[in-house]
Amino acid sequence: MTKGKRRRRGSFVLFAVRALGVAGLFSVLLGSIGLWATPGQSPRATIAQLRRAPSTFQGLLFDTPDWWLRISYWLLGVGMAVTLAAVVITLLSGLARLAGRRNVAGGNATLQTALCVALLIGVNIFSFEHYRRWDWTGRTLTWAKWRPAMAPAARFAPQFTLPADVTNDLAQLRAPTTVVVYQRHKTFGRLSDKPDAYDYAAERKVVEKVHDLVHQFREFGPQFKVVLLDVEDEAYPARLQEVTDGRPALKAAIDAAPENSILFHTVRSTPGADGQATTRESVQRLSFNDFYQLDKTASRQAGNGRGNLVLLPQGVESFARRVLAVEEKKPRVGIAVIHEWLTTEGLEDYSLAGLRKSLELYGFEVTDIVLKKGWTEGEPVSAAYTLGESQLERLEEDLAEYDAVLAVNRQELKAVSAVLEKLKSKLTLDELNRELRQMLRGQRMSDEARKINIVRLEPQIEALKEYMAQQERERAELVAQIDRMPAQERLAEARRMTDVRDKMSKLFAECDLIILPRMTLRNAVVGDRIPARLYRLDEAQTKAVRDYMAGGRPVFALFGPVNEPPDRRQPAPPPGPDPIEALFAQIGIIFGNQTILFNSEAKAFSQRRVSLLATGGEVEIPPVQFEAPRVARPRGTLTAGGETTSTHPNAISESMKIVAGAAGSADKLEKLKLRHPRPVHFTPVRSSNGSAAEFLFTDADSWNEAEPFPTREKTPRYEPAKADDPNRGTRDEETRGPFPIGVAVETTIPPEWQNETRPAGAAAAMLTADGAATAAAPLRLAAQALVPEDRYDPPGYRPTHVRVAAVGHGGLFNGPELSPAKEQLLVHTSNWLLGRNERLPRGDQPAWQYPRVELSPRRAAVWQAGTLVVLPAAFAFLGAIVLLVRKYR
Amino acid sequence: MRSSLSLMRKEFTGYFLAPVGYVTLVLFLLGMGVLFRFTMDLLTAEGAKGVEFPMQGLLGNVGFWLIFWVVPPLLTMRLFAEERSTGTLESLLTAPIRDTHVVLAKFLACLAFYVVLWLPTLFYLPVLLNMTFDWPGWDLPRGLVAGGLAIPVGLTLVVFSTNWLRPVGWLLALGGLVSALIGEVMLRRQNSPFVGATVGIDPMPVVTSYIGLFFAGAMFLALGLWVSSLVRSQIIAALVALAVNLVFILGGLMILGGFYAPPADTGEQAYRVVNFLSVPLHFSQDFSRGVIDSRHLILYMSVTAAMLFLTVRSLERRRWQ
Repeated sequence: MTKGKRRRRGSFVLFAVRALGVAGLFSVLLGSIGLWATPGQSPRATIAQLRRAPSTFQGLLFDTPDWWLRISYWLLGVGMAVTLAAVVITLLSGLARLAGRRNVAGGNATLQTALCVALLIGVNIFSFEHYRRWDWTGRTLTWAKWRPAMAPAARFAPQFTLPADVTNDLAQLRAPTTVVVYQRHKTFGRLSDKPDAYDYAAERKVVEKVHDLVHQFREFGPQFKVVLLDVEDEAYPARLQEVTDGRPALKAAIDAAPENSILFHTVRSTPGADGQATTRESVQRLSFNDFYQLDKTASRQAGNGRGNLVLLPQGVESFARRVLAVEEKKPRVGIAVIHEWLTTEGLEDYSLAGLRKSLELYGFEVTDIVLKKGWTEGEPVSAAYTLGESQLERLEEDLAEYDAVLAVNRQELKAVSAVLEKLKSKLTLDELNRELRQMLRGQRMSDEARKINIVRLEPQIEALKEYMAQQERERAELVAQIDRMPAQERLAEARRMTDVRDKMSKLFAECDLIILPRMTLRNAVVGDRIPARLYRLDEAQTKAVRDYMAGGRPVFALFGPVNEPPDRRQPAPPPGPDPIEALFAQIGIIFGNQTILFNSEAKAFSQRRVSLLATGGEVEIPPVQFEAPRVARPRGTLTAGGETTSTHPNAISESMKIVAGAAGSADKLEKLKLRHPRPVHFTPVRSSNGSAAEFLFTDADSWNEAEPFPTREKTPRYEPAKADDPNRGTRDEETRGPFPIGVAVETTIPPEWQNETRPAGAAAAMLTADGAATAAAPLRLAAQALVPEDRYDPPGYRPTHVRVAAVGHGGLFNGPELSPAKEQLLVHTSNWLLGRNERLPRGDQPAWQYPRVELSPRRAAVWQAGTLVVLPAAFAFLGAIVLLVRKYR
Repeated sequence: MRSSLSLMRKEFTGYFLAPVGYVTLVLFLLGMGVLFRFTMDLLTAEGAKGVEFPMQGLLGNVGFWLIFWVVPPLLTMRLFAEERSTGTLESLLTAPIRDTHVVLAKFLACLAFYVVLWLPTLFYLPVLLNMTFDWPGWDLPRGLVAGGLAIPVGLTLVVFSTNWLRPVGWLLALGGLVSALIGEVMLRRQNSPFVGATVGIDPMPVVTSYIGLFFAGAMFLALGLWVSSLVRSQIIAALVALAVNLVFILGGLMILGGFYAPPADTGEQAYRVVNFLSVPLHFSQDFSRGVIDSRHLILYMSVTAAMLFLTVRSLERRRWQ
């Protein structure tokens, strides 16, 4: 064979092998498509199956019933085999060619190419796993250093660099943490009726910022797993299932989240007593609002009214803190009410179910404490028990009832069975009549009657047995329910405690914050109210509250007005001030004695006089404000000595103003309206931290009314105090609004709370509080003289700081759901009371907004035309000239 | 070296002497002009609209990546394919110049034109950075500094001319340099800037964007150069380069265009790989926002180096064949 022929044959073989290889690849492609198009099949799954059990390969090719699938397997199998063979032959022939002297150079080039590609892949794999990111934002340019006058107009902050302390803390975190970014497309706009463009824009931007931040978190290592869940994503249900599989707490938290949230989740396994590991899930939730707050007012006003998106950063520290404290104990909030209907598991509008839901959503635990019992037996008596105790008691009573019923039924069964036995026995009629003579009461039983009774009694016994079995089952279920109740022993022990003060103190001691709601007046027009006298606590209970506060623990009082309609059938309220209100007076918080009515309510009052159908339900009252309206000085901001001396704004007020800003208002939330509040004043009788006390105010369009119920004789309306009015000059003087209706103070406890042998100071403090009911001006002056000089700092006094908040409305948080506005007020007040100031919305950081360039219409037009037309046209012109010159040459 | 420089100059001037250079320039600037207009609208918008990082308006856009996908192949398609189709490659390969130098000269010339392509976009900066200027007026030092303008004029003459204008170009360039240096020294003694300027928008994202554009452009040009060395037809070279470029662009385009939603866990290895390879994502997430990531730069530089090496090998192989 000549050399040329050999070469041609070699080329043909090479061509054939390559063509076979390409055909094999094509076959693999077709087979893969066939598998991919079959539901439940995929090339990857098939390969995985073959790797697990290679012996099934033959079965796949020959025994697959679906002809489409069988063809696909064949195409895939044959294609892979042919491709593999072609590759092997090509490699072998390549090696043979390399061995040839003439092809050494070509082979060398191939080898270098292979090495180059390997190096390229290797370098990038290394770089993929070992990389660095440099955040250059906020850096000063070098040219700005040597050209000082060219420094930037503003100092730019780094955008993608975590603070050093946060970085250090996160770097030490080893527990695997899943960060779920949950987009529910509800955050901004919840506070207003209809979200607008600012709300949507804020959501988009904050989502972007959250993604950036979690991206930075991921850089700390594999312990952070970041998952994005978007409810608008079509794959959301599957993704949710995947993320929450085996994580019920996370599932519950996602389901409960009402808005865009970031959830931090960890699972910790601890060895149990029985040697088996128990897992404990911990979930913390952060609203997108806790990361950035929208300032809609500033957004609208930005750029001389042209608008911009203005967001208030809340700091990444709060974000990082949640990650670090994902397993922290939740603060427990105790809700002390007088009736089970008023608890968080109570009756519809009267319940505090919404409060529980909101607090739990924001990471609190809630416990109900009931302070009175015996409502069905006349006047209630003082008590202190939890709903758990009440439930246990109820269950135990039910259990006793079951036991009693079962005992009766057993006896009945026994008796009836005995009769049936006798009827069925071989006793003669005489013997039977003798045996049953008491039951027959003088009558005689015939054979026929004997048979009829047997027929009647047999199903009766069966029915009774069935009924008893049912009762037994229900009883067993009840027992199981009792067994399931948490801390049964503690509940039983608590029930055994009879001393109300001790018991209340014990229950309070388990709480980090106590909320005392007193819903009184609901609708003055129709007289819908709960009499205030029912809320009055006895001395032991008052002391329990005092002891709790004396320990420096916070209390949130929500006391509605105490005014009663002029109805002589109602029992008269006990004489003297309410002991709990007197307790608050000792730290300077004075609850007003009137109800605040709004001018808009006057019409409803007059309508009620002529029509019983007028309920006043549709009265539109103005929302509460977080800053005193400027129309007039609010009543109560003056002390006996003159001006208030607060140097700092109230923290809750500032937080709520930021929240209001997100709804487009500076100092109020349209959805936060309080009907029939009462004034709450603060007189700084004790040293405080210098912050303003008042954080809630009524609109100026209001007045304080001592008789807020319309009667035939009198319709409530504003009437200025007359000259001889004893209330004139006091806080109780009838005057126009605005009024403070919410105060929050951090103060020290009075010395007598630590040492009860200082009653003079307490009495004096009460009298000097010029809002006290009996404190007319002359008496007040006399009382001031009684105040001992060492009143505020007596020997041996250990100042204990306490935070207290009081709102002059008892039903602020009642109802099955809380509106977002009320929820925000509740959560921020609770956080402030618990000293968690870092969780309050803040406005101290520079606001974020889109950069803007100010251009006049002409300059904008010049820029547009210059860049879009002139620049390209200039180069087109240059090109044309060059081409013309070349042509000319 | 001298021959390399003259080859580089020939290739570079070639872009300006043929219509393709101008067509590319004009189309590129038209596209960028539209994107700039879009960004400027956001920077001067009313209401809640806006763009946090102006360079994102330019580079974080599907439109830009469609332009960027097409431009490098347009620049590189002729580099070797034209030489092969016209038969001048053989004479080039037999010339006293090493293959490496041939490849480098063509690559650098192409890269230089790519830089020229981007230079007009510097005109956008006053708006993108919200710059305000304070011009103190003409005096001697500023006049001398302004003499520095003679440098680009002189260099243009040096590059584009072959006759007596070349020495004039050198003179102009050197004179401009001396003048600018003297003016600068005088201004520094007076502690006075040439022109007072302040920026209202963080300039660093612009710096990082141009750094990224330079290296990413180099990578795509090197890819195009390699493809051009493999085929004879310019059209095929451009089409194959477009297809190869898709490896680095398609994933990002799909995500930026909303055709593909990232997985729930964006830390998944597959998504990380897609992210690693997708140049548009590098720009929308990092470069245009002032972040430099070593992974991106290493990818660009390593692919550039590898492609240049493969181009050299391709030429070498051709020589042996």
